[in-house]
Amino acid sequence: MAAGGDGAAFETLVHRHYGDCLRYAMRLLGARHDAEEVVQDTFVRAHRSLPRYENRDRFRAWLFRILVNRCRSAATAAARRQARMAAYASHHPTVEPPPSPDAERLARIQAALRQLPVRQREAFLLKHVEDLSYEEMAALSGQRVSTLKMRVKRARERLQLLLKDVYDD
Amino acid sequence: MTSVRAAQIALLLLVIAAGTLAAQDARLPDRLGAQVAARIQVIVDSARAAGLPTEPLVQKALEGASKNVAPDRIVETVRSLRARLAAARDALGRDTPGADLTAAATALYAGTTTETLRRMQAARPGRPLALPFAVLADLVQQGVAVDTAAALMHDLTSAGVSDADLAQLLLLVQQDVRAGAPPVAAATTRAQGVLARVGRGEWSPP
Amino acid sequence: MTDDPTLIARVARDLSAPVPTDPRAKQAVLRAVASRRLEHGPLARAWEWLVEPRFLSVSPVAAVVVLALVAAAAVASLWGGPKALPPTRQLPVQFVLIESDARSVALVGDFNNWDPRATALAQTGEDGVWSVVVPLPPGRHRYAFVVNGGRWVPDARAPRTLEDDFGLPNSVIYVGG
Repeated sequence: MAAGGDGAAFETLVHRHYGDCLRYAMRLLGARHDAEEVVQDTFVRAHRSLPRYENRDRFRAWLFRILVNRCRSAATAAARRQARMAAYASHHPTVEPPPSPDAERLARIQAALRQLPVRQREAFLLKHVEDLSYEEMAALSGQRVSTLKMRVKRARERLQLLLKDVYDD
Repeated sequence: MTSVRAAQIALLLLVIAAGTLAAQDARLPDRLGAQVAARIQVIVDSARAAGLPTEPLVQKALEGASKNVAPDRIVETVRSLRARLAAARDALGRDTPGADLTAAATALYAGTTTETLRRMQAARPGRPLALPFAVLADLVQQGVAVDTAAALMHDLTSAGVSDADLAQLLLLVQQDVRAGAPPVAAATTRAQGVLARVGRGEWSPP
Repeated sequence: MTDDPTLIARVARDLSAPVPTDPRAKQAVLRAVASRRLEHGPLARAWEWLVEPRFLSVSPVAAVVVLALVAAAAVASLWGGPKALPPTRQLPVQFVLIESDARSVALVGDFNNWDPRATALAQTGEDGVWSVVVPLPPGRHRYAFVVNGGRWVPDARAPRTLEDDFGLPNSVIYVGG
């Protein structure tokens, strides 16, 4: 129905998938405004490509193919931008209320993720957070399943090293 | 009748009506003479038909008249401005206010890309953009490299900095540059000051 | 290295928590998609049909109807006057030029059609100090001075604009609002 250009149907798809897309983009890119831009771009491109969507693909996996590509394009610029903002903040720290323990832990996890190469970060998030199968990940990224499994394994190892005490109370 | 056919008929009637109602702008022959005014009017009319703002085109022609510029150069400049307005509209969408398009055209002249315009629009959804686009161009005039100016303006608009603060930022940068500061240092320092003051942070739910 | 599936599962669970959505950002997505539909919808396709050159075969009756419409529109345009714009708030702004050799100074800008006849500055008693106060709406305005009827002088104390200025620079002022 949405493929026929029905506006309301596509809006429903946006409402249904916006949250997951934003979550993936934020975990991968590390900053909200970068993530929001990429997600907007993703939905506009998805709308443009709707005529090419074949109903036999799971829509979410199809949408994520676009999202993952957009995030890859944005990752370098986002990292540069965040480094610039961090430089500002280090010269002029602002006083902020102390974060909650949960927020602090999430920030540590996010920082550990940022230390992974983008491809490992991507594979880890798609497998363990977005719950895609390796077959879906292979179709989305054009990589072999064995390559993806290796990236996930390396990501797990590195994260375990960086976060081994993050749940110690 | 299909929706496309209905739209065709409606558009045809609209074009006929618009064509007869559009009168020549009296300011143009008064300041430019009949011949040059007619050439400018053609560009203005085509802009109007395309749904682009026309006042910036008339103002640019009048500016050229004040500066005693050769007619061909005035016409060429107005034509280029029309093209930049169209590019701005393609980038930002058909329901973008005229003031935003005019400022975006200035930013394009300064070397901004249409991608940057879109990103700034996405950073400030639903709010006027005329001033951020204009300040971006004015920063470039102060000597800030266009990529740096674009990145700073994007960061500032994302952080929700007000128009008044953006205007003030430009004045401070100008003062610093006149006092001898390198333009990029002046711009990034002043931008950081604004950000620290408004407290840039992640958006959090109310 | 021994794998710690429990740790990874906890990390994954934390990362899986939904992130708060800014409703304005989501609205921006819906607007972007809607405007794309407009650009490629029936109206846009109709416009493309309209501007494409083609032969038209029109019945005499249709031709008469169209001509009548054109005539009616022309008559309407003669009777109609310009629509009055709603009044905008204006703020008094002072422009000053220090120019000891000037016999006359005019202010020109995008608020007075760049017309050197429109806004003259006056000497304020001190030799060479010229000024005028002009009501301007809030926003950005471009301007310059014209000295002795012909010499273009930007305001040395204001930022210059970056634009196609025919080689003679303009100054910019931001009026608060």
